[in-house]
Amino acid sequence: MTTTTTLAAPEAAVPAGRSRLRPHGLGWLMWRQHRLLAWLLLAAVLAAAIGFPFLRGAMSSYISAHHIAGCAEITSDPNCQQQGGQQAVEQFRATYGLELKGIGLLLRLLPTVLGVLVGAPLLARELETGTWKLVLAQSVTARRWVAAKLLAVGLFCALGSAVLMALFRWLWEPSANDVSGISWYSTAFVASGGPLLVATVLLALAVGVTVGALVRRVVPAMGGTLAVLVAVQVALSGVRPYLWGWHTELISMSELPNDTWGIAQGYLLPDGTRLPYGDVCGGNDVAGCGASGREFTDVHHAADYWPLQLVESGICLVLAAALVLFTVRWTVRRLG
Amino acid sequence: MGGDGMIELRAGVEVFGLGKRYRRGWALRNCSFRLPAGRICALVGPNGAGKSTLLSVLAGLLVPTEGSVELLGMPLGDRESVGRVAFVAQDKPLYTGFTVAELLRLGEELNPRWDRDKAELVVAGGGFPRSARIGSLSGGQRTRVSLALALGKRPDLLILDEPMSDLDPLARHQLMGLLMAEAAERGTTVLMSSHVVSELQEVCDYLVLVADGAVRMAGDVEEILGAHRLLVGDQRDEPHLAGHQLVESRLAGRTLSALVRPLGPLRGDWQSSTPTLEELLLAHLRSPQAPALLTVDARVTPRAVAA
Repeated sequence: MTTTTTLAAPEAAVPAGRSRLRPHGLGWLMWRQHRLLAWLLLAAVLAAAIGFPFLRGAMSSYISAHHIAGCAEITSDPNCQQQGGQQAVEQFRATYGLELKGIGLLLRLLPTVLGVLVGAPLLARELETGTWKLVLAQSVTARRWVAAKLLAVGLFCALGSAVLMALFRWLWEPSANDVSGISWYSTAFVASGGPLLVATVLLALAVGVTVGALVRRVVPAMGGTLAVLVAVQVALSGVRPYLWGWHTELISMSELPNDTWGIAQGYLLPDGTRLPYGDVCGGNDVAGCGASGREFTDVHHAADYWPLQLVESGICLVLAAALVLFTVRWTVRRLG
Repeated sequence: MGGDGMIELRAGVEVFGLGKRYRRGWALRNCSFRLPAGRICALVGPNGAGKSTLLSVLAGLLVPTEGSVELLGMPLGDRESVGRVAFVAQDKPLYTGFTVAELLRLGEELNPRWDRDKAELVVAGGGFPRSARIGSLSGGQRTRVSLALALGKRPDLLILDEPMSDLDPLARHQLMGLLMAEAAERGTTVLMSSHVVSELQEVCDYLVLVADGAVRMAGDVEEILGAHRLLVGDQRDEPHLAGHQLVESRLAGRTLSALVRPLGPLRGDWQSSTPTLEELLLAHLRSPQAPALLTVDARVTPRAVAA
């Protein structure tokens, strides 16, 4: 950690036998305080790195053995019409598909878990127990200390979640969209199999740290963080489809291929009026709707994946940066 | 900075018109005093007088509402002064999950001027192994570890908030001894708050009395004591006290005992003596209306009050 170099004083000679690679100064304190987090993240990464190749191998061989690569459960693809293909896909979804979905949903929880268990106590515990006074009584300024803490947990969590995300993405690829039914926009993948996971982790940490700095007590800070993070996740899910331009296609949502994300559907009347599906046509006037208008669906094609990921990640990172900046200023002003 | 003969002229602490307001009101208002470098100063005052607030501001842990502070001639928060001022908070906060050895390592890692031998020496007398978790130590043992961290920092100014409150007499005596030896050896300025007045008289040569958020008295102990007389006499002599500053007078039957600051020759038939530090402090604590007394070297020039 480069921020510690100026703390290494000329008179304080490094004791013999201590490696240069070992952290010094604030870096040492950060490692001592957050090594449990580092070890747990490493354990999760190792478990994934060891387990996922086996799972991926099993999925790939199942898919090739049943010749169902690229086949969904319901499909008009001529390559997928062979005998028993549909049962094979069903079978896959009931076994490997569930595992894949489970892992994806677990990863989706990772930001909230880290925000509540790591972010919220980061400053709140020091403020609640008074240990911040111990640290600031040493030759350390509040700004450097808070920055080091944020940097340490941010680094550990970002690295850990990035590797987990990459491994999960790699695991998902053979059965992507079609065989597993888990598409790039699915709940089990969209926020856990791309850079958005890392960005959400950093945002969740920032939210936790901010709430902790304001509330100054661990348990209320954890509760507050959980509440804010649930609201943030709901809000992000709500705006997610509209973060990049979408296309309107005259097709029923149920006819869309698995890699196309239908975000809204309805009826387009001859005069150009758009009637939302549930509004009129879901009621008694179905026949009238069908007669006078054509079904349309607003969609994102697979090509919209990266723009959507990057825009949402960008929003998360900007929010996280703003919260971090606020928290550093707030604590430095309050802690002198 | 010890032994250069200039110590008495330089200031360890200078406080200019300091004020700190909390939501419930002013905890500290218009505080000004000077503590020359190399002195051992007792900060005394009743509970809630603002002692801890004052020390927290000096330690840089609390931002004052108004006024300013200079430590060792440097403005508060100066990067250099951060490394030369040590502070032990009243609640002696320590990481309870750390071992004693890890906490000393913390001191070594975070302080460029760390004195490992000194810190080990302070901890050594505590009767607990270096592998002990802080959470398993008693209050007195934690105080010892806190003091080890503070002394290991090799401070030029040592600020201690109620350092001895939870130590047994033996540990108190030993640690006070270590503290005084360190101060004598290095010319460290020490500012400590305490309730144990008898202890203070042995070790402190400087005094700051705070009450109701204001400095009531500040200066060299001998000088302050010399400025007061404890008078015992007949009630009929009371009119003779006019023209002197009366701190406190108490009547027992027809016998009047009074603590005064004589402003000239005393008239009347009095048994006159110099008060002890304890008598002086108790009298002032009971009489908050007594005028403030700051000796010459405890006064700050008002230049920086506006800052």
